Amino acid sequence: MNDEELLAQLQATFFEEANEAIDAMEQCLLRLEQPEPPFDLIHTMFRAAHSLKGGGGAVGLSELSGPTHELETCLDAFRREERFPSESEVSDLLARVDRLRGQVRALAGTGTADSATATGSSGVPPAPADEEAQTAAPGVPATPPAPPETKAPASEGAATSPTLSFHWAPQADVMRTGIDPVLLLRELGEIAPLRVRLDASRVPPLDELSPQSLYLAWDIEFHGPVDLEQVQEVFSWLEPESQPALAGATSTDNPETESLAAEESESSTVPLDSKEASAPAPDAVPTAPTVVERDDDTLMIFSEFFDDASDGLSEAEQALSEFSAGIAAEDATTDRLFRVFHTIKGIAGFLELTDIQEVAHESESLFQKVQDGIVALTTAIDVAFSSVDTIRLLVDQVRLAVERSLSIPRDRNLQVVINQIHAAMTPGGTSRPQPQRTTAPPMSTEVATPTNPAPADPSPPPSAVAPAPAEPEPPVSTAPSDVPAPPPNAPPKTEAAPSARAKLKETLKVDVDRVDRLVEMIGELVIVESMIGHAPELASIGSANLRNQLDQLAKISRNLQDAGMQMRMVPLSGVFRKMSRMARDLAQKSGKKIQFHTEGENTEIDRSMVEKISDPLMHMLRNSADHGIESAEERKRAGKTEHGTIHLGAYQEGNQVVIELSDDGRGLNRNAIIEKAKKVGLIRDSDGISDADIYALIFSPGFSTAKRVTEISGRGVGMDVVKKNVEALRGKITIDSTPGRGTTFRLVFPLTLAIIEGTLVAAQHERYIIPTLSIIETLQPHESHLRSFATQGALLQFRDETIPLFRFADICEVPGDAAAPEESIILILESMGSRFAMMVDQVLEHQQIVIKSLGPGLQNLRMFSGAAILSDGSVGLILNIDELRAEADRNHRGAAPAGFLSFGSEGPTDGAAAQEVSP
Amino acid sequence: MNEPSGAQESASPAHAEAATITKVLSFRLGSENHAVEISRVRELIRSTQTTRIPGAPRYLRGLLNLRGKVIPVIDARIRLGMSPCPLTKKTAIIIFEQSHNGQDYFVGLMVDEMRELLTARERDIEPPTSVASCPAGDYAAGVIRHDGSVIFLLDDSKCTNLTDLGV
Repeated sequence: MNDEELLAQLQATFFEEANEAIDAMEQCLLRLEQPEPPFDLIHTMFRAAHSLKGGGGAVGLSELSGPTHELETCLDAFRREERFPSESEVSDLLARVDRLRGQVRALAGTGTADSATATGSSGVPPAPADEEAQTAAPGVPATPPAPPETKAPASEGAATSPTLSFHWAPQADVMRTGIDPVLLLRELGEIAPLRVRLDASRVPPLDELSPQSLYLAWDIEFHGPVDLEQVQEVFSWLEPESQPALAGATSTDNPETESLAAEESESSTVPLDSKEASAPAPDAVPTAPTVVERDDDTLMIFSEFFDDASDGLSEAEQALSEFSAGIAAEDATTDRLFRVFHTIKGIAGFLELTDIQEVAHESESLFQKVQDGIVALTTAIDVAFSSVDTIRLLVDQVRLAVERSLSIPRDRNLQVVINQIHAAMTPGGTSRPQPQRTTAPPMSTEVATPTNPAPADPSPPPSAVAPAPAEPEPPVSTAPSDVPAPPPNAPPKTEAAPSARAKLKETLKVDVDRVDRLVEMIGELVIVESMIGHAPELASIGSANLRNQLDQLAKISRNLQDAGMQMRMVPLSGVFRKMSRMARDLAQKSGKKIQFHTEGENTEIDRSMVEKISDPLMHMLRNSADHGIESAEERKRAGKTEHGTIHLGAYQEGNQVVIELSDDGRGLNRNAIIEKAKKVGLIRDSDGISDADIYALIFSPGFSTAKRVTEISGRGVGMDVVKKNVEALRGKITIDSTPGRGTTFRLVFPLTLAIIEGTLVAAQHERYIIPTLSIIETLQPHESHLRSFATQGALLQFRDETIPLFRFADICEVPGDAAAPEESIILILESMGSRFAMMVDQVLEHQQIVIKSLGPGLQNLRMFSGAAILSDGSVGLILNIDELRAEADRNHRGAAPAGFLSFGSEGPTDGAAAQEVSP
Repeated sequence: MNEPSGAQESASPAHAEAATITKVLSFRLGSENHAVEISRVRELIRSTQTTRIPGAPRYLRGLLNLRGKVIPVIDARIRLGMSPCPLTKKTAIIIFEQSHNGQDYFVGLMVDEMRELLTARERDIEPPTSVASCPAGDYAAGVIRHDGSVIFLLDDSKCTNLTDLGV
């Protein structure tokens, strides 16, 4: 994926987060006005504003830094003074939040390419990109997105022919030279009244769009005396290629001007339609629905939009009904409506659903007027209902198109609805003269109802809108007479539905707490089921029928458990995107050439883990980029390709998720690690220590602190933190490295934190759970493998290693007589990268364990990471292997092994007996 | 400590003259009678199957499964410096709900035997000055004279406090 795509993706992610943050701030502010607000609200809002500021900056949306910074400063003041904002201050904050929302929406909606325009209007949601920017009144900011028809001096502009008109298409890189086209346009506006029409035909599809490039062009018409030199002056700072061809610019009856005028009425429906509009000139002729492949992300966005739109429309309907019924006040209702349409407009703009965007935009303008007191809500209410209906229809059509993988119908004739809205917007009850093609007579507001027969507009047919014959004709207005006839060039009505339908996933937003509660209850159900299944009373019942049913019950509970777990699973793609971005930045900073590949980003993991995974991954990635990958020269010398490759992959393996980060760099320097480890006293001698164990030393705390080591070994910065983070997620990390060939970090995580794979072991009458992930091997003790040290410490010969051997009963002081070694089981466990052996009486079973927290007060019991309810209803403790090992070292270093090495004898024997074990 | 508990009591004419009464649950620890305020008790458990916690202080008797919740159980006798509660048919666990750092949690107190529910008038409860000098004196909230015998009213939150678990 290239940089631009990446940035676009990051921005998309940011927009999502930003909207959430803004919603959260709004919620907090609203809560502030309720009785007894917790002071945490201020902190929450501050954090939200702060992360918005940072997030926006990180994805290159510098436009947001100003307003977010201001907001942050405001909130910080309250935070410092430890006081709640007053009512008026809350209003001010709400207004700021709203403005911010508008800006974010605008940025998200118009795409970042012309994001400069978003800053133009002071906080007011800027007009969509497809709209004509009117700079006729210099200095006056273009206030609320005015529809083309309502702009003030429009009539004058349209009536007189332009004195000078030209097309200005700056080079794509013009903004990198510090030129802001908006400023230039404003400057032009100061010369003489002018009309500017945006030509967005150069805008590429979103995934090819570079936020630093300019794709927009403008058709500029002056209406008034113009000094050509003055105009040239404005463009004088530009490279010649970016300057408009003013020499050939015409004054009057240029044929282009006419076509411009003719297109005017359509311009509002031909927006940033980059995906389909290949012809540079906007064309009102509808394109036939074609099969469109949409990736999962896009489908997800659509699906969210459908949900949001549907929610919003219901909300609007309810607001309208409540107002009609006299329950709700006009102010509140208008606010609700404004918000709904504003939101829909924003998302529709982002998704390039221009029809919906337009209707929503016009409706929003209408409610703006109501808010401003220009129009009474009572007169607008019918139109509002009609807008809601229209948008709902349009949304349904889009949904249908998306479901069938068809292109989204566009350029429908919405003039009827728009006219109605305009009519309602005019306080006098008469609408302004409509643009050319709509020859609507002045309408009074009383008749501006959905059934008002508006003249049919001979433009796009609804057949293009409804791709499938099954779909009813989309009545844009409820009056049948409003449905225009299809033009001659309409595509055939029956568009063969593609065989493979895009899977439009329906999603449901659910409170996480509810899901957690459900999963918890499922866990309890599984326990009870297990208790019943294991009940000794049942063993005596010889009914095969009962057995079968119990088996069935067990199966269903397991499935239920899986289903519950899956509800909490989210793909790793977000984390992977972050890593891609970081790899790119790291490469740039270090000046190295790094290719970054990802694979398996759709692998899912528990929601609560996703965020915590990115931290260790970032550390590892930084290490790989900084120290693993060599400089281009060094690589060349080593006979490798100039660019290094870092690969990040993920896949699911059983109940675990494996994440691998590998590079083709210089690999770990084994000797340097040994040197350092000796110096800090981690090891005395490297003899007999496997490579993996040597590499694992870089995870030791204290190993990484010295900077010198990183220079020598090329690794080690914060690796102990990595290990700690990974283990906090019950994960495991291993390293594989080949000198000169590269290094691979392998992380293995459980799918969820709520459930682990556990192995139940017994020591006398007590049972404990060991995370199965920690168990490397289980073996029967054999006399020939046991060693003793000074008749005290016990050791186990495990393959080529000699590892310490502990008896679990000793570590945990289990009361009672220990079992004889030949009746015991030895577990090979791994802790902090090193292995040790532990003798237990029995390994009972492997099972999925629902983890219960030990609760406050018991957190200090570090040897146990939690507890679980066992199948007999008793509580079993889950062992924290690292702490167990530490405890073993603390309590038993140098202590007598109580002779548990002696075979064939009961209980403790003396040291002499233990010695006999030696071969 | 002597706050009124239970509205139904004040409605009862038999206790109308006692402005402040305390309902207590008495139990046996060894040969002594102790009590806790009933208003603090969530429930009583007969089951004594607890899981020992290695490394924990002795008074932390173990963990109990209370309908899917894992609850620490404290041996009241060890807490007061006595020998551990022997497990018998009469052994019982009193469940309290405590709060630590705003987090509510359940905790059990193991006792030898449940005795009875008593209503103590304010004047029946003496401050625990008489036991203040005892090592376990801190755990006492009062001394109740009852039918010629003595019941020690314990401070449940001190008895079930786990925050001093310096394991």
